[in-house]
Formats: sequence, C-alpha cells, structure tokens
Amino acid sequence: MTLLKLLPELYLTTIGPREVWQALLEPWTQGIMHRALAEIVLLGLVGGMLGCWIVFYELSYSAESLAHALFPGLVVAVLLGFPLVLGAGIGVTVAAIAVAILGRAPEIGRDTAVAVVISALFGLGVVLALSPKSPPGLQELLFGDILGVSNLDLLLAAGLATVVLVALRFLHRQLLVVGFDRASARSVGGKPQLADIALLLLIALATVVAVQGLGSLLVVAVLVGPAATSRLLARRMMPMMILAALLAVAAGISGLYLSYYAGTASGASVAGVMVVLYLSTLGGCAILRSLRNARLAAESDT
Amino acid sequence: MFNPFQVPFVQRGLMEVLILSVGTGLLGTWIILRGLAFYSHAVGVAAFPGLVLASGLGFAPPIGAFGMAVLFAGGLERLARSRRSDYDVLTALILVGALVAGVILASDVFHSGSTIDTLLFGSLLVIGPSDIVLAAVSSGLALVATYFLGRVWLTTGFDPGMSRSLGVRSAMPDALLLGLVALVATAALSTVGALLTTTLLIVPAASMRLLSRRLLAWQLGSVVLTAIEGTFGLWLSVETNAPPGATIALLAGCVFLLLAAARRLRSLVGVRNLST
Repeated sequence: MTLLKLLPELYLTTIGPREVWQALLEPWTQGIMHRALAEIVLLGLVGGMLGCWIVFYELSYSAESLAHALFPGLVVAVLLGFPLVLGAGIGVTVAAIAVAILGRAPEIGRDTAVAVVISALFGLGVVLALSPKSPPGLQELLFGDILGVSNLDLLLAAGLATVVLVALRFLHRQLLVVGFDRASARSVGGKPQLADIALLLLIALATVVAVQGLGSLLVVAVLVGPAATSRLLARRMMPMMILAALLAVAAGISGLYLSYYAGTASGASVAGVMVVLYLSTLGGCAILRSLRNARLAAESDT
Repeated sequence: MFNPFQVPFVQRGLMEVLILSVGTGLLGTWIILRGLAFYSHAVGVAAFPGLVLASGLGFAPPIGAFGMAVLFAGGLERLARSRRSDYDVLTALILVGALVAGVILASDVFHSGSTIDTLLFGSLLVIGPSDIVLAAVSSGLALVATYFLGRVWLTTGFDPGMSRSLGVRSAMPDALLLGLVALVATAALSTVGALLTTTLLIVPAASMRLLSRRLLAWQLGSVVLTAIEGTFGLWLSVETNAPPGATIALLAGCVFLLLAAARRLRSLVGVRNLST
C-alpha cells in the first residue's frame, strides 16, 4: 500500500543518478539498519556456504524441521528474559535429540518421526506463547525481526557464525568425499558417520544464528534458497559456495530495501526475495535449456 | 470436568473433530506407508495464503485453501519433473514462499494481522456448519477410496516396479491419494490450523503403528486414537484458552512418546527374559 502511494511521486520527480544514490543510501543512516545489515551479512555467509552442503546431502527437510522444532526454546527465552540465541540453542538441542531417538523406530521411518517431533514441539511452543500470562509477540518469533536485533545478540551470532565457517573449512574434504560416494568413502579416509553428525551440528548452529532475523518459520529460506540457486549455475563445490554466499547477502540486502520502501515485514521480505530468486533462476534455466534443445533439433534436421 | 462440552461452539468443534478423525486416521496410515510426511505438512502450509485471501476478499475459506493446496501439489509435480533430485528443495522453498505470501498479505495488504494466529493454529470459534459438511464429505471420500484403492496403494507402496508388472497403473491412484490428502488437510485447517495439520494426519497414525502390525487393526486404531486425542485436546483448549491445534498436538506428541517409551521398555525386558 505504501508503495502504491509512493508511485505518483516517483513519476513526478525526475530521477537522476543523484536521486538513485540518495534512495540507496537513505536506509543506512539509522543505527537500527546498521545492525540489521550486519545480521544479514552474517546469516547470508553462513546460510549460503552451509546451504550448499544441505542441498548436496538432501537435508532440506531436516533443516526445516529443526528450525520449526526449536520454537518452544524461543518462547521460553522470551518468557524468562534471556537472549534468544540461548533459547534457540537449547530448543535445537532438544529437537535434535528427539529426532535422533524417535528416528530409530523402524516401523515409522525418519520422515514420520520428524513430523511427530515438529508437531508436538510446535504445539508446546504455541500453548506456552498464547497462555494468558505471556507477553504478546508470537509473530516475531515465528517470522523473525531483523530490525530488533540487539548488540549482544549480534555478538553471539558472530561468534557462532565464525565457528560454522571455520568448521566448514576444516571439514571440506571430508564432506566432499562422503557426499560424493558414501560407499567407497572409507577407502580414501572418509568417515560417513562423522560427516553426517558434523553436518547436523553445523545446521543446528546456523539455524541458531539465522533464527533471530527470519524466525522459526522462515529460516529455511536462507539455508536452502541461495544454495539451490547457486547449484543451478555452478558445477564445482568451491565456486558454488562462494556464489551462494554472495547471492544470500545480495538477496538479504535487497530484502531490506524492499522492507524499507514497501513497508513490509523485514524477515518475510528477505525470505521472499530468496524464494523468488530461486524460482526465477529455475524458470530461466528451463527456458534456456528448451531454447538450446530447439536449436539443436533444428540443426540436426538440416 | 465435562462442563465445556455443554457450550454450543464446543459441541460443534467436538462433532467436527470426531467426523474428521475418520478421514485423517485412515489417510494417516497411507501417508506413513507411502512416505508422504513432508508433502502433507507442506500442503497444509500452502493453504495458508489461500485462507488469508479468502478472509480478505470475502469468499469461502475452504475454496481458497483447497485452491492453493492443489496449485502447490500441481506446481511441485510440474517443477520437480525436470529435476528429480530437487524435490525436497522445491518443497521447502515453496513452503516458505507460501508463508511469506500469507504473512505479507495479512499484515500489509488486508491489515488482518491479528487473524494470523487463528489461521496458523486453528480456532474453535471459526468452525461453522459448512466446515462440518466439508469434514463429512472428505472423510466419506477417504473411507470409500481406502476401501476400493487400498490394495493398489499398498502394492505400489511396497514395490512400484513390481506393481506395474502386475498390471497396476500407478499414476492415477497415486494422484488420487495426493488429492485426497490435500482435501482432508483442507477440511482439518479450521480446527488445527495451517501449520499443524500433521497433528491429526500423522501423529495418531504413527502412534498406532507402534502397537499394531496388521493394516486393518492399525487403521481402525488410528481412527479411534485420533477421536480420543481430538476430544481431550478440545477440552484442554477450552481450559487453557490455547488454540485447539496446539493442545491436540501437545497431547498427541505425549501419547506417542509414552507408547514409544513403553515399547522400548517391553523390548528391553523381553531381551532380558530371553537371555536368562
């Protein structure tokens, strides 16, 4: 709605390079936006880089469910007044243990166990959050609030992000060997179990970093979106990871602009840009491929 | 203790849950057998923007919800056909896209932000006669389809290649199963909300799976367990003032945990008896 009101003014004023610069720089004049920018860069780097492994190992459902299931942790953190990052950490630990234990029941399979854990923990979180004694603010925990990040939150997130990135650097070869061929990985020094556990731990850490900005429901956007986009464009792992991190940060900043000028919720805007980026890249690739196929067919006809 | 059930809107909710338990209990067993857990979670969430649109533009919510659910299922099938391995990536991202669309529509376009909680987690107050009709129709369809197509779903579930060689064409029954899950999830939305459709569709059936090995017993048990959990969940919802979706989820999760723990204990005892 705000955007629609702005449109006539945009047409009336002549738009030169100076106005564009001004529009680009204006959001960053406030301290609140500096913190939002720092948070976006942190979660973009971690989400983009780690996301490539999530996509490679086909762990999208696990990543999504961990983020959903840590919700009661966030609620408890708000109720007791300690930092969200800490609540998220405890929540994600409980969720991971529950999935690990229930996932071993042979009759129902891993996906079903995950669904049971998400439903139960989510229900618990909502009952806690909507009980009459709780303060309002459920939607911020669900959909995130990048603009509400405090300096302490930011410091904790930076620490965790560093841990994830350093671990990724040291685990790179291990993850590559196991992910490429699980069966023969042992013969070249790969340890499949170690790689799986390490990856799940890192996903948990990254979720804790990103949950503040994007909320329990939208975290999976940054963990999967940029990496999946990058995988459509790059073939080798290292360039894919770097491209994914760049895309994630760029999409995050565009989301902040969108939120600033259109007046939409910040977390939803960032997640929305990441989803649209993936879907449009997917569509673009499909069109290019069919064009190329058509040309090849035409060439082979002549 | 049963005072809440004398209030008319709680009675309507009870009727809705009892009717729904037939459809969700039956389909739950097929969802688990066929590994459709992520799909059934996503199809409920995909309906969320449909619900927001319906309440904003003033048409019947189930139309918006079912429309979005079918759009999601069809879009996923179409997009994933070209790249088989990206199925769960697509599901995850479309799911997030649906949540983003819903929350932006609700808070910035229709300014109905306060209804988000109701749409995501359900509410007893919004259940009307049309919801009960929808629940009855979808439960009836689930029952009929289970009776006639159960055999086909079972064979395709165990071995798709084998069933094709036995002359079962698997595309049509499978599409029907996906459509039915979408329909029953839509019917369950008003009670348990878009985020928690799995509480009725998956958790009770998964709990009963721990107890029974035979298909018929499992399906009957799931229906009964869904009805029991739904009834107590409604009561808890009235007592605690929390949305029914959340209380049923919590209750069903606890039942699952207890059954799993009991089974583990029994098998431990069994092992000890064998070894002595």
